[in-house]
Amino acid sequence: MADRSRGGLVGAIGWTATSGIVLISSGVIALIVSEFAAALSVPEVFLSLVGAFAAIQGLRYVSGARRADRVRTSFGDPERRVTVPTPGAEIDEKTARALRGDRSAASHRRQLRTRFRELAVAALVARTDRDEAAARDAVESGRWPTDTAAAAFLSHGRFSIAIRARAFLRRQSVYAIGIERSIDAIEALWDSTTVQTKRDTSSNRRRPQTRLSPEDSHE
Amino acid sequence: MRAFDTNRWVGLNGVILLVVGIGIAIRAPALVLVGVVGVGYAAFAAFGDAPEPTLEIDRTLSEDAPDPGDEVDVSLTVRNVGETWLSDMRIVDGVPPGLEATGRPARMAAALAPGEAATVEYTVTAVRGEHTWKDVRIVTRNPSGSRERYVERAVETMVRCIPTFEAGSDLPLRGLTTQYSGRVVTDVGGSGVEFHSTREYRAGDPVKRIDWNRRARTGELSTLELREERAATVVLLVDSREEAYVARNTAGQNAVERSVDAAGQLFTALVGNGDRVGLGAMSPSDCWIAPGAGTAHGVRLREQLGSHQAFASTPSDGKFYWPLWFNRIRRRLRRDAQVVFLTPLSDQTAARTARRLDAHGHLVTIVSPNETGDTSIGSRFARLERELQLMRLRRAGIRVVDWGEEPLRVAIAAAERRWSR
Repeated sequence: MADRSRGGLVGAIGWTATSGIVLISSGVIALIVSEFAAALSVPEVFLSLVGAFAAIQGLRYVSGARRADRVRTSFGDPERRVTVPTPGAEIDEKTARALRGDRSAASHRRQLRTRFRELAVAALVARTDRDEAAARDAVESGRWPTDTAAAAFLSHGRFSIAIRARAFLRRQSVYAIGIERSIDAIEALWDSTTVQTKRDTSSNRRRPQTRLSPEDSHE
Repeated sequence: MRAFDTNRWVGLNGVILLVVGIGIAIRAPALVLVGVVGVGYAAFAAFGDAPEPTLEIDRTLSEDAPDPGDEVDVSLTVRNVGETWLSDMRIVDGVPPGLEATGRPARMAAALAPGEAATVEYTVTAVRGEHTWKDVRIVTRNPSGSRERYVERAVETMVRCIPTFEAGSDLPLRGLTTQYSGRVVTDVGGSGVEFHSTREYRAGDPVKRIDWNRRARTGELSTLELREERAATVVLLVDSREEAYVARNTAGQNAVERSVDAAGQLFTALVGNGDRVGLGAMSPSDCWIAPGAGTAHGVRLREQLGSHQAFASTPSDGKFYWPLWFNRIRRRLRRDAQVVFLTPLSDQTAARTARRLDAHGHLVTIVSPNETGDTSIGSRFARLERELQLMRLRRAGIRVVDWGEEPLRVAIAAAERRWSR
């Protein structure tokens, strides 16, 4: 902008463009008028330097271009009907984040533990003769469930060496085992107890797969 | 909208400079010549801007009031009425979010000279509701694709799909009634079918209601009192908050669509039985039809269920404020109104609403489409949470119809068996 205030060709188009026009015009004149070309003779070293400089600049531009984002208008998929989430999708998402191992994983694990713990307490109150305080105490102290991985997850306790070894061999997080065992334990407690209200409405419900081993018996 | 750079040819100048630079440095004229060829490409990339399209767009439907499940053919014709060549144009039609284009895609790529036209044809399957097409989205590019321009053009098109609700489900109502005669058996003695009590004969009592057995036994005249059958005032309340839009699988109906279908079946049966029926939505979009009876009222309910934004197959825009909504619905509900609340019980708010309405004296029956499954940890968790809610609601004295994949009448029959025990 400062250049433009000076007036004339430089002011109108800037120093770089002016220099370019002058140099290209000189080259074209040199092509046509051989005497002018002779007058423009430059040392070999200078020519090499110019070539090297151009090559380096070219490399700079190319590497810069690799980082540049290609911009395209994205239309999405308007032909498809808008989909809605399945119930529990947010728990699945939170579980995935909790197992990701990044900075926010601990926070997601804490939130998941709270949700699972509340569900476990509610299920214990509903399906056993415990009141809420006793149920909460059983879960938080690790006395329920008897499955050690689930108990460790729900009570925020230490996972046993056996669970850690199993997780290592399966290349799985101990938390993944803890979360899965917790839902197995709560589900087993909920489904194992015959309650009148449930029996009437279960005709359309598939039985969930419970992957508990025989030693993982529950109260 | 303004055109923008796509960065498609970015780096070409660098390559040219690199090649020419190496050519000069090593004294290789061939490389310098290759660089000159590259300059041609660079000039091509810089040539021209993405044109601003001047278009005439027309969208036609084979039918604008189809029945659910009907296939509607859509034809979108785009004509270049400007003076500019549109050498590279992409067009995507704004299919309504509730509909799905089947078969062919709702998009095309075209090059249009002035006066030329191109047409894209596709088919959508009609589902219940009022569906408005969104803007047509258009992208034009210059010949090299280095510049792009995005524009949207509105073409007003709407399809209305109002289903005929079958009276398939006769939900047993609870004992909160009006003074009108109907089918709900009350504890009030009078005329009816079911025995209630006997009382001393009064002059003018119908002869057929005299207890002749007692007369034979004791010689006294007494009159049989039968349970009066009265009409009920029922408000069908559909939970259509964003949280209620859940589905077991993406291909099938979601919980709100199932709730609306169920409301349609229930209101047809209720209106047919002479009950006074109202309609409301627990939704950011306000929807309320006060309880009423008669054919005209039935038609109005059907229209609202079929086309109101609150019952759309996709969530309404806007925020939902439960306290404001609850105060409003409380003011609207008459004291003798009972509520049939259709909700998937996907969160605590729905259960809280049922309990609060019940506490305010409106007998509540929940019809809950069950969309939970057991395919993932999250879905198993959601199933358990929902079953806990069902249990708590039943313990609070609220009737619940747990409606899985079976027809609604089967679920109601199963619930009725439990209620009668």
